[in-house]
Amino acid sequence: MSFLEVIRKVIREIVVIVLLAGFLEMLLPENSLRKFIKVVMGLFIIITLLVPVVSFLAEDKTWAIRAWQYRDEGAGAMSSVFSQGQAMSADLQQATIQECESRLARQIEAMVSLVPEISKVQAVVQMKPGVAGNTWNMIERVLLRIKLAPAKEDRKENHHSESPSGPASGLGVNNAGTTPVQPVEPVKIEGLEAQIDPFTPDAVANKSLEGRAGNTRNDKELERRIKDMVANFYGVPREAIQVEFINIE
Amino acid sequence: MEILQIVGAALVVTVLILVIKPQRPELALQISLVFAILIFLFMLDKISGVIKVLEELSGRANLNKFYMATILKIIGVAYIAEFGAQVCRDAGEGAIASKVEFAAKIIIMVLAVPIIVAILDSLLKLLA
Repeated sequence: MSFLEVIRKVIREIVVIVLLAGFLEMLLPENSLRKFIKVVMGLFIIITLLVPVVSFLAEDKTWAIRAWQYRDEGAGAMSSVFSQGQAMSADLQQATIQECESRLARQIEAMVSLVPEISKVQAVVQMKPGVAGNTWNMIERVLLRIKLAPAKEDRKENHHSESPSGPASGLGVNNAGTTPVQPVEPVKIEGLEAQIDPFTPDAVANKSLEGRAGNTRNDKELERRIKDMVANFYGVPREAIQVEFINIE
Repeated sequence: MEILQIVGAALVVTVLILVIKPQRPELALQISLVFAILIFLFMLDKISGVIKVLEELSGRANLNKFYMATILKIIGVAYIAEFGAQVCRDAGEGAIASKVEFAAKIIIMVLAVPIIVAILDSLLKLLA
């Protein structure tokens, strides 16, 4: 018997007992025996109220809920148990994907920011939703928001980080000054590209410097190089990489 | 209107007793006793109807019939004892009337003993 049933039974008995006590009190004789009978009627009311409470407490003293007694109305069926498990698994997978996306975005930002022409970069990585039973997710889309560095800063940086291309790159950036200088063709040093690993940050910097020397502020060229870099490092199709040049504060 | 019949009969018997009592007081007492018994029997049918209604109500509420029967017995004992005590007082025997009431009190308490025991038992279970 559940607790609510006990309460319902007790309330029903209280109502009936109060009515009966009222009727019986009208039947009592008007003499010295009246008070005795009222005492006995009070005892009758007490015992009638106590019996259901005591029986409820006596049958379940430990208040323990056994597995075969427990009935969860919302999750009684086995199918709902499975669905709850699947929902928990989906939540876990979603959290994993979000963590993976944020870490990949930070990695890509760190890598792309090595390009000297770029002062700031924001990366947004979107993973493909995982197929049921498959925990491996692929990068679906990469969005890069890039702010280009000012020309003066570029020159300073290039002087500080003296690259193998050396004076040729410095001349190429020099057009921000008062005296216009004609851009020169990039000086290619034979054998240098073979020695440098193309996936190292130095190689990325060299390539960017070459681009700067050949065509200053060539966004298309910079975009192409960034896409190549991200595509090579992360195995993402170039079509899935989107580059935006914006002003990021 | 039964009450008119009862009041009419009561007035007649009262006048009769007042007439007879100076000459035959013992006969006056007997007349009074007979009238009381007649009234009691006359009302018995009505009381049984009330008791049936009460038992039906207690049955609907799943109350223990034993306790209900005990209460009704106690009420019956009280009525009978009052009747006897009044007759004794009418006869001028107040001492006997008080003894009757005393016996009625004892009987009522004896009838209430099972209820008291049940309450104690329930309280002990609750506190155990």
